[in-house]
Amino acid sequence: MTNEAIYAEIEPVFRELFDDYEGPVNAELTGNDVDQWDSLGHVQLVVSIEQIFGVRFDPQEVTDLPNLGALVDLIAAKKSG
Amino acid sequence: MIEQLLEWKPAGSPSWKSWKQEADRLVAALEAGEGDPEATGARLAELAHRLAGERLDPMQQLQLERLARRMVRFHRFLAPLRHIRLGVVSGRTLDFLLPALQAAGLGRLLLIEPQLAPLGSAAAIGHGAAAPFEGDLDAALYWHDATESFSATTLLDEQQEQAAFSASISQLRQTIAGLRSACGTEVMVTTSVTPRDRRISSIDGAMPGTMARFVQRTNSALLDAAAEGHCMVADIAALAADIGHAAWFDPMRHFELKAPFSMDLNPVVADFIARNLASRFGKARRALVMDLDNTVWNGVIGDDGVEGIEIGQGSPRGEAHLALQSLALELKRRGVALCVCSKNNDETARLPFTQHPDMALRENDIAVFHASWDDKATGIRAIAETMRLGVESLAFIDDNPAERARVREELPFVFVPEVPADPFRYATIVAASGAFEHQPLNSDDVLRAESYAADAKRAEISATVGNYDEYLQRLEMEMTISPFDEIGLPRIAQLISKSNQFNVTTRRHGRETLEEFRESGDYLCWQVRLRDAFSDHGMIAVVIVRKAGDDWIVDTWLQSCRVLERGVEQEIMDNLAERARAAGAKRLFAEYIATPKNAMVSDLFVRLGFDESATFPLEQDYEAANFVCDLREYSSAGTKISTSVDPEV
Repeated sequence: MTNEAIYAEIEPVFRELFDDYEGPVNAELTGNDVDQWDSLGHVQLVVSIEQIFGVRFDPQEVTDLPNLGALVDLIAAKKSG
Repeated sequence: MIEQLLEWKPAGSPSWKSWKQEADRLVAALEAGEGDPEATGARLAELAHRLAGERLDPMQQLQLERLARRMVRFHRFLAPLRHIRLGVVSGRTLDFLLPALQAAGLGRLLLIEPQLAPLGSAAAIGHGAAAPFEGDLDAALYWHDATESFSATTLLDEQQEQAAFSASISQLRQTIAGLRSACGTEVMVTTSVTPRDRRISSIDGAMPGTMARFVQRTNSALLDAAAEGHCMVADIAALAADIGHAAWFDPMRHFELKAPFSMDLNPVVADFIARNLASRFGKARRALVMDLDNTVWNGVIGDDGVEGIEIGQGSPRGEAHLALQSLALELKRRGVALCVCSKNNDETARLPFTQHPDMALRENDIAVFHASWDDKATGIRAIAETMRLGVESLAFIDDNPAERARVREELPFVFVPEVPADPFRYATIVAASGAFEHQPLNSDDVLRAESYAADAKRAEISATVGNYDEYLQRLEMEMTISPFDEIGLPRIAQLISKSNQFNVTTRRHGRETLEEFRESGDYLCWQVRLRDAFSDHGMIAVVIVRKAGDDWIVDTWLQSCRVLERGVEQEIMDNLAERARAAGAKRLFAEYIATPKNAMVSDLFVRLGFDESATFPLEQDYEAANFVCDLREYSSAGTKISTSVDPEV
């Protein structure tokens, strides 16, 4: 699964969950850019991604991710592995 | 897995996306204050209910959650969806359940607006702290987890266990009472589930000091408290058992977030909570409408005949259809009305009910029997009108996918469970759907249920007692005749204004006229009641007779159609003749005024021994009197009813 394909699937998830945010959804995005992407929002995002991509994250893997790009890389790694 | 858990929901409708787009446009119009909000809201409510009625993939679930969030503030335009402001208290992380709860509400005719108290505030509220909620609430949900208050006592020491259990229950009681007063609403409390790592042996449930036993006893105490009206209950333990504990728990999320169950189950748990709230707020379904061919029995009655259809023991399909019938009877026992909507000739459709020995359902179990060649949506609409219910009170089961689709399209608020082509899961799906979730039944519900049961029992006797007289004998009917009185007048006036069929003159006297008759000495005014071995039928007849010296004239004689073919009219006539004779009357006159509806009594007076076609010099009002009975020669045919007559009459 390419990163482009992953972004294409993540963006609508992101927009449904964080519906106040209207800016671009790209690799550089962090929690500081999106009000609703707090710790709770992060878990919701992670759980939604698990369901939609059919992957499973260990809590350690998804805490302290620097930005959305890191999360996408993680999905890509899981999907290829 | 969700597929099996929400199996009553249809999946994969190609229209979902377009409904969603339309709903988004409508909610945006409401947000922008554009257009007529009433019309917009009415359509939006329909769409939202349909969107939520489908089995959703994770992305659709997110979309619906967001739609529900946006809709809630327009609740006053969104009837019949009911707005519920819900306070949620828990020692577990429930943040993730709330969006799903809002989405599930749409499918259960609710617009839920939840607020979550900070983790663990239950105990403080129980000790008198203010509720941490803004504004008024309609209900509170206390997600209680008994495992939090379990303290391991010495194994097998019953006294120690009892002391710990009592302390925990009194704490729970205090918390519930505190929540009730702090929130100013009823509190719905959940039962708890023993984690799999605490269930070691088969005997755990009977071994003092185990968590399994503690949880089991707490759950049982909670259910008792709910039955007694101290709180509402959502039996999460039963839901978890239904799902299976292996799927219920997600230890990783539990240790990570204190999530009480696997997050994949959010939509399922949310729907379960929503259905319990729905039943509390009058949004559960009240009537089950059933298709007949291949739904209630296997086969097509019009083609296969009574001998050809399969129902009952001896064939797997026959047993499956019988299971649905048994479920229907169980629902009826709890106050749900049963109706039939079938594309058939009425007479043909009724044949199995009257003639097939293995049918569990009988004609008198069915409140409204609609068999015609109308399309099903028209039939269901007619049933709703007859029952004076909104279509959102109905559930409809039909094996035919085209009929289901049509009814969903035409009547989006009717609950139409999705069922497979074979009948094996019909009963399970209807029960598991929770469409008929209910609160503890009160005595009125049970009385109503008993009267249903009595009807069924009478049918049973009639089936086992071959001789009709014997049957009537065993009914032990007791009739009471008394004069009009204040207590009876509203019902008397109602019968006079409504009775069409067993009504010889259909004179619609108003309340004032009835009072005049009652005051005047010139009229005999009877209210007649009947009870039998199975139920009290209440007032079943009204008779008004004008006393004109030697000649008495029947002004009004009407009876309820619930008690036909039991000799009621004969018993009334016998008493009337006796009473008139005692007062010195010689002849009793009567008339039959034909209407489109009262053909059933055209020969009443002939059956009772009157002479026909007599004309007599009577007053204007009674010029149509065309039957006469010579009281001096009248003799009774006898009945199986024993009667007590109020000496005042």
